[in-house]
Amino acid sequence: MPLVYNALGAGTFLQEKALKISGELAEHLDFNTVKSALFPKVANVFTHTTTLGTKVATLECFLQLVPKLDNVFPLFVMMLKVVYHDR
Amino acid sequence: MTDKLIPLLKNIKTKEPSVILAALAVYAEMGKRLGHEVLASDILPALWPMTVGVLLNLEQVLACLGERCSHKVQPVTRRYSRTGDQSNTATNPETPGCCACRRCIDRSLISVTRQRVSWSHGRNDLGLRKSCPWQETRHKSAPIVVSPAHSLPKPTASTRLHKFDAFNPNRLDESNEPNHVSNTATSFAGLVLSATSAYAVHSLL
Repeated sequence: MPLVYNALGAGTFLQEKALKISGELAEHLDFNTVKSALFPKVANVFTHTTTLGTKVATLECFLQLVPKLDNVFPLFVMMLKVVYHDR
Repeated sequence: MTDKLIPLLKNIKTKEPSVILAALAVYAEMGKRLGHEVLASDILPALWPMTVGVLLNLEQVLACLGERCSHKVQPVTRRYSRTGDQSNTATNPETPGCCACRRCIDRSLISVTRQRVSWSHGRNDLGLRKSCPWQETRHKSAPIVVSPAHSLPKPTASTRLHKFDAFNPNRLDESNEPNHVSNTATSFAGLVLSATSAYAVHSLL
């Protein structure tokens, strides 16, 4: 992973490659790693980049990260459903 | 996590179609997983700026999104409106609810968008004028929607039930038929619809 993290801080070309890879890698990582390490770095790239291709690549990466980041929510939604159903 | 991702996506200032489409895909993915509360308060408002000044293609995507959102939101609103009918609306049936609130306007606009898109599917011969009626819709809807807002009671925490009352799918359906207009939200939608259809006829002539 340090390889990917360093690549995210490098030039535009490397960034795009790293973003593409990190989207696929995210499937094999656990929730905490994605949440605390990968996502902040990708978000940092997203806010600071001025290149169109990189911007789109970050968004695609987000798209692949969303299912992974969603781990907490099914339980939450289930709780909500139960609460609303009891009303 | 959504606390971080939603602000990030909201802060996109680029109007580049590729960026917006990619953001839309992320929104769609999030929409599948998030609750109706976040959907209505964070995602739907963030979508509306995207509809301005870009292609009709985008609006179709938005209409699809809105439809899917409505599937998620409607069961909840039905439940809310039922409780609202029992407690508050029964005592005061004339209460228009807080139809001036942003979400209700969004809802009525979505139904209009859906019809606009389906309408433009039917008349492909309009060609480049396709996008014009939509622009006009926004311009015309602005005074219609905003002006009665001053006469309505301000949305407060106590009118929360009414807020969801206006989401009632029956009322959205009624917006097709001006005869059944019984509620301010539907009358807004009806007015906007009639305005757009008038403009459509005008542009055809």
